[in-house]
Amino acid sequence: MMAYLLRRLGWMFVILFGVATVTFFVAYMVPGDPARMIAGPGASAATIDSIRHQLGLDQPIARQYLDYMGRLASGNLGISFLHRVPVLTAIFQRLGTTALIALGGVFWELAIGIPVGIAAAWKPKSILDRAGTAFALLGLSAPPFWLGLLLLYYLAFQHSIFPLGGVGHPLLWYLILPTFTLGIGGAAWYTRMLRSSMLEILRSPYMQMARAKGMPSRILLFRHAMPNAVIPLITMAGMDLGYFLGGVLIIEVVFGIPGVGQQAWQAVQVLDIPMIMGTVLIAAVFIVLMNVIVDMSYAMFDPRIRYR
Amino acid sequence: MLSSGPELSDRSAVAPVSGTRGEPPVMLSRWSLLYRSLLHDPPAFAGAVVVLALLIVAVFGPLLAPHSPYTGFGNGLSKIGAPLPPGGRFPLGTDPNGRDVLSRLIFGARISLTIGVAANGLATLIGLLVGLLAAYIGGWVDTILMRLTDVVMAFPILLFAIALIAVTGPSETNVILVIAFLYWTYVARVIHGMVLSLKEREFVTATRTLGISGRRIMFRHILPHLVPALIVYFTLGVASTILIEASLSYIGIGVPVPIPSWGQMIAQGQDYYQIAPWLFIFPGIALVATVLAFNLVGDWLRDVLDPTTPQRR
Amino acid sequence: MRTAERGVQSPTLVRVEDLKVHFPVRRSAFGRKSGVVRAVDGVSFQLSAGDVLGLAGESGSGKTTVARAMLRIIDPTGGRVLMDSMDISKLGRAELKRFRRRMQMVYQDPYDSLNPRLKIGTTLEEALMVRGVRPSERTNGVRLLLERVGLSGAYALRYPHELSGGQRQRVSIARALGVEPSVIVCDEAVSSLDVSVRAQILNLLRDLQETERLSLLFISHDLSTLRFIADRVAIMYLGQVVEIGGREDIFDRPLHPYTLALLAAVPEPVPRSQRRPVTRLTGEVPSALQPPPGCRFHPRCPIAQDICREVVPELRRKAAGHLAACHLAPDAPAIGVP
Repeated sequence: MMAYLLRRLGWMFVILFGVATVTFFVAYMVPGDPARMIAGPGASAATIDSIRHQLGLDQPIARQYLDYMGRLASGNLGISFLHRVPVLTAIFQRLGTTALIALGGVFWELAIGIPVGIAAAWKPKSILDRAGTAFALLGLSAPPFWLGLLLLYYLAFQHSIFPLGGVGHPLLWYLILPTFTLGIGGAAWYTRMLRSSMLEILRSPYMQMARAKGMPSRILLFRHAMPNAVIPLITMAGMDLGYFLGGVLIIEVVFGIPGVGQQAWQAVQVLDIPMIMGTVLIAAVFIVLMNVIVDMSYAMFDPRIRYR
Repeated sequence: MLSSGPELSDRSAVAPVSGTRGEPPVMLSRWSLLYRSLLHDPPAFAGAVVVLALLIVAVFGPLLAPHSPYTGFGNGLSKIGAPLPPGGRFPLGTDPNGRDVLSRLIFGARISLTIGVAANGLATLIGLLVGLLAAYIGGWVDTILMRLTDVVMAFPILLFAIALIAVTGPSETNVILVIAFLYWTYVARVIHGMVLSLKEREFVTATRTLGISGRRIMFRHILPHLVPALIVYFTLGVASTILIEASLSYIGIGVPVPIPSWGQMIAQGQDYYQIAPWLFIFPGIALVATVLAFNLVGDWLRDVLDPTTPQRR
Repeated sequence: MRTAERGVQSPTLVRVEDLKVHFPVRRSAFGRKSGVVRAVDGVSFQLSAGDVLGLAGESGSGKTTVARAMLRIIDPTGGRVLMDSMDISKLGRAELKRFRRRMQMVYQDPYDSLNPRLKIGTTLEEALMVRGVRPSERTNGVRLLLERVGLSGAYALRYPHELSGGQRQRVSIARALGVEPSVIVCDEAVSSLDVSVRAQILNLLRDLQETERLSLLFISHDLSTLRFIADRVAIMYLGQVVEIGGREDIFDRPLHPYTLALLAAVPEPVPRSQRRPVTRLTGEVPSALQPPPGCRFHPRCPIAQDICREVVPELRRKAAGHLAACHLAPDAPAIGVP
């Protein structure tokens, strides 16, 4: 087990290394002159040069790369052009809000996906199944931003049930619509996955045997089929959490939530490279971390994996 | 239902269909079988109709649109300068610049479909090559390629796409390239798994022992087995890439402004939701219908061609 | 007439010397290698030109592994496989390609050894491709190949699923013949076929072997098949050859207890009154991870002695052309015709 864990962690660092390298090169590719952007419109050539020297931009690329990696190792993601604060600090300040949205999204994914999926598998081809499948297909096909707008229009504008975006008190109330919008897409996926894996399990020989012996359907469904089918879903939800933590930009923009995504969006408007790439890097780190955690918990549950 | 018996894509597959009341059985070709299966699946049939309609609109758009999508009509705005509601000369209303919404929707279909198909096509090609080469050659080639895949997959698609386009400049080409360079990983993973198991089949061993080159085995022997899955993933992939492009355009980092894209129309319409909700509702419906159609057709293709195709994340 | 029966000394085509194939086993993620499966552990035999050598044994005896190691489908761990005085096990990629034309294989599964998506003709063309036949002549070449195995040229346009199992094996044989090898290894080539079809294919193989002067290494768990087609038979148990000899030696004068047990399992149309007492074999083939000490067969051997538990018996000549690895079979006198 230990060997597997160590191997997995080793690969994680390799991937993170690759991610950092890619991020560096993208940031390096930017047209335009970062020094000039920092200095501002009216700065003199000397100021620009000195800023360039301070940022180390006059060094050869290999040297810049090494400096960059060194800075990353000490947690320095650079200074935002726009806000003049360290990128990492700015991100962490907003991370709480985004984390709430991320968690809410995963919550809705499971809260909607699992019941609907089970209901659909309960009686295949029934009205319930068809409705569930239709819901899933629509949820998959609707663009999240449009769905959000639609919800805002009908539930916040036409009928003032929910607030029209932004954040306030009570916080959770303001987050209902955004998290719901975020979760619908995943819920649709999970409904379909759960339905098909439950149907597969229910068709398996040992299930048919149990049914032939007279076991009531309900027990079959809940005690036997469901746990097996749901566990992969939980792990997928874990990975979604990592993905969402990366800054659910679209949702935050649509609903006006002051989170990491919205901040990244503002940075895009002005080409604030350190903030953009810093957010991308943090997002990737979250994704990789969650992947590793999910893999390792899989390995704990399923001994076969360890032998690879 | 069709997966039992000879595989559908075998060129000589014929199936006797017994007639009613003692009529002699009718031999059907592969295409008839496909068509019949489509008829039995109403949602898939509807989806196929929509996809076909979209293709027609995309190709013949300029002929079908009542007006030009770029022209702001003087009488396209109300007396106080507000967009017109649907009806009359402008069947779906006008936008804040006096442009005909229907025409813009039609041209938007071209854009979405072009970008979706091109980006997805490129992504599928890259993913196929990476997955096939990595799995067949094995060794350090496999390790490097699959780790590369892992690295690319570590980035959140939308966020990274936004960053890349911001850095390289928004244009139709850049959007296609960026989406393709991020999306290929899903195809690569699936193809990699399939090729790994195909590699173990006895006919591959036999052909290798014969002395046939690896290149020929990869493309003449293994690739044909991948085609059904590729078709399924391509179709489903178009649905995804269209959604990605729409999100990018909505955010404003997609195709540049005058070119109509549904996502962008939604963003624009968003500002006028109080007085002209149709501006954001119609493009959204168009998007949902399009993506749904491709999803339905993709699902149907999966059932028909290869029910054992693994689900892709 | 068979080469062996003519009594002519034919040149040795393939010589397998002390072949070993070991697979490492990763028992747990703790240790890297906690065991080694000795699938093939010191196998030696020769195949002469125009000869049919049968390789018999239960599943797990390692006979398929021997075949795959000979063809370099898997790499041997030790020992040598010599052909034309070249050690096949050490060949590089370019030379391996040339060697492939000398030795080919017909596989057990007629359903999976042909690519279901390629026409028969295309599959056979590949063999011709390897031989260097020009594209313009390939169609004709395919037709000739098909006819050699008793199928009409029209089959070139069919797909494997349109053919029966027996027909598919004929195609596999045609494919192997296509590169004009000197040796063909048949790995349980008829085991998946119906008994009636089996006879046809065996006859085909025998005819081809005679007309083309092929050498066959025929692997089978079924001794009655080998009695029909083989000139010489080697019996394998748990990765080692325990007996090897001519057809009459093995079937009429078996020496090793394992051979005797295998023969006893072969159904014979003999009236009850004339049946010989049967030595039933108990137990199963032990795991190749930890073979028993001494003679590997001793736990199941009805006549095992103390020496069998301690000393590994060598393959020694017990009669002319007849070797066995058993302490209890007397060795042949030193002088005599080999």
